[in-house]
Amino acid sequence: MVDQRSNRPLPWLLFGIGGFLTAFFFPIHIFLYGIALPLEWLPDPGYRSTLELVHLPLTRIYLGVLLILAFWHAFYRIRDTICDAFDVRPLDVPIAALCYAGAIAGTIATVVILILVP
Amino acid sequence: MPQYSQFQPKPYERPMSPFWYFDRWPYLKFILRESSSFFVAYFAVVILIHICAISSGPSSYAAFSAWMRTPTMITVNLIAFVFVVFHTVTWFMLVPRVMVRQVMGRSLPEMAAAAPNYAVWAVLSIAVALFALRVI
Repeated sequence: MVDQRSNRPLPWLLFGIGGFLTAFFFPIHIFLYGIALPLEWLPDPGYRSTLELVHLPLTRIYLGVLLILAFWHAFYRIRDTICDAFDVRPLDVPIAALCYAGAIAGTIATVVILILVP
Repeated sequence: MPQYSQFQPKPYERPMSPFWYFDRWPYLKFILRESSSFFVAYFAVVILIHICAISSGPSSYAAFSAWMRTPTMITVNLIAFVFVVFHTVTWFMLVPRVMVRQVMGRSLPEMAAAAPNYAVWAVLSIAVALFALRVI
């Protein structure tokens, strides 16, 4: 065993905060936009109204924080899930690199997409 | 440099089935909980596509809505919903594990320690729904 300090605490912090945010907010997002509105269980507020909502700075800050931390939470866990489920812990370094690349890509995409909202 | 002896002892590794998580219910629960991360990433991407569709105008918003109404998407979203709720419940149940649960010399039951999470979850979900449906 090589005696080495783990560099995990920082991503773990993002994983932890993201875990809370996704636990609190993701179920209602999936329920509304993935199930209830497509099945017309609830009245659709329509295009203009939704655009106005996303236009609000507060909505964008909320979505930005939620999505960026959700990406970090998810990819931190995906890394361990791949390593454990397929028993490929020796490949941890490339898998971790790919997962963190995914989290960084998600972060950049979120910022760009939210800034470009008219 | 470490010095190796001629007969370096090798640690014994128990052979493991590639489907080890089917062996016991706690293992399966663990892997299902961890798999929720794929669905979190998936729906974060869906939300980003949704925002892009809103930004691009009414026609792409209509196309996005039509795509979300396809049976495939509804099925995938139902599965994602179940997994994410499983993440929520398992995450909330962690609180009693990491928190000191001594109240006036007695230990608090697990459910009582986790209960405030469920209350906050309900309030936040209703708030998000009211904003999203433009009620407030």
